[in-house]
Amino acid sequence: MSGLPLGLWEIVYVMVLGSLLGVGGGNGFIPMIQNHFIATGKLDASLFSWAYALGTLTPGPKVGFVAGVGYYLRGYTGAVVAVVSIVVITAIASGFVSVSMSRLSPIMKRISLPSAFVIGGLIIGTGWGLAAPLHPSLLEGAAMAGVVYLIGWRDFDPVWVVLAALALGVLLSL
Amino acid sequence: MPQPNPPDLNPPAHPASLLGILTAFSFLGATTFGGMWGASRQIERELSERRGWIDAEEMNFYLVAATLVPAPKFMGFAGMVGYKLRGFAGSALAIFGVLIPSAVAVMLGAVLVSPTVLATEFGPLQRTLSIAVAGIVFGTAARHLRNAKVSATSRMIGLAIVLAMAVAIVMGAPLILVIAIAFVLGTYVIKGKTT
Repeated sequence: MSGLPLGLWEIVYVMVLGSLLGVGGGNGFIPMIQNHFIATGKLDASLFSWAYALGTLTPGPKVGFVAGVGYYLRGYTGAVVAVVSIVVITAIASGFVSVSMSRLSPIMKRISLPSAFVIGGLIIGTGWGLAAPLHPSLLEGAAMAGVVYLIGWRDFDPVWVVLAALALGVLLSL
Repeated sequence: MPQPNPPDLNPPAHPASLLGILTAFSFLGATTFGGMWGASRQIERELSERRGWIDAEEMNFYLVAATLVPAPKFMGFAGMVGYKLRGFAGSALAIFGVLIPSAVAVMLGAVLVSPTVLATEFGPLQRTLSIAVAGIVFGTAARHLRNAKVSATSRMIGLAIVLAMAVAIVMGAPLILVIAIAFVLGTYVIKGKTT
């Protein structure tokens, strides 16, 4: 965990913005966490990857990984703040959408068209931030490309990729 | 994305208590895999067949309408159903319930496996996971882009926006500014697929 001071409000800010970027079902948390915590040195990329992998392996919404991110940033308090922030903003947004459904639908439909590309661009920028510091070898790069193909084109469930990486990592660690 | 038409949203056959909402959605959060769509049958079994809170038509409506909520889809779905049942309190408890099992499990992993252990004894494991997660992130981006239902011309424009965004982010441009410009540009130039 980084020794740099981190206000709890920063966790709230990132979680709220990450949630709001999720219109259309996109994952806005990844680029927000990368930009605000990893790129600034407040969170090690390897810890983010570990939390993200855990979120992929657990049942329910994969976004549970933010609890791990909050924990690495500010301990148990950070984990609670991260979870509560998402719950509150989602509850507000859900209620708002519920009562405004007929008026919001055309607007949301218009925004959802570019959102796929905006989210895609954000995530690619994030992916670069995660991959570049690893300085992957040719073999690792090929493995990464294989994962991209499986996830992006074959609709592979990420849980199998994480399990395979876990198994390989444990074997190599022995 | 199809525009959802609200069905006749009747009061639930069996009133929902706040504790009942919390336990029902916690059960779903602890036992479902594959996201909201993968868990749709279990959701129907729990909320519709077992508890009588929503019928099949309402469930399908909420599954689609959840994509309008700026939040992860499963949580948006829980929020909308919870709101229907017991207003904001029901919404918050439903979202909390569906999220907490995963959050607790991740916390256990984070607490039990310290960063020091991860970095030293399991260094190769950390590296393989990091490579895998980077690949998953790129693959997720690719899936987003491939699933966009836009015209061919708009797709080319969209990809140009993606490239520009990625370069801007890597070069350190303020994220909010990049997002705002991309959204404004995309809203005007990206058109849906004509059928």
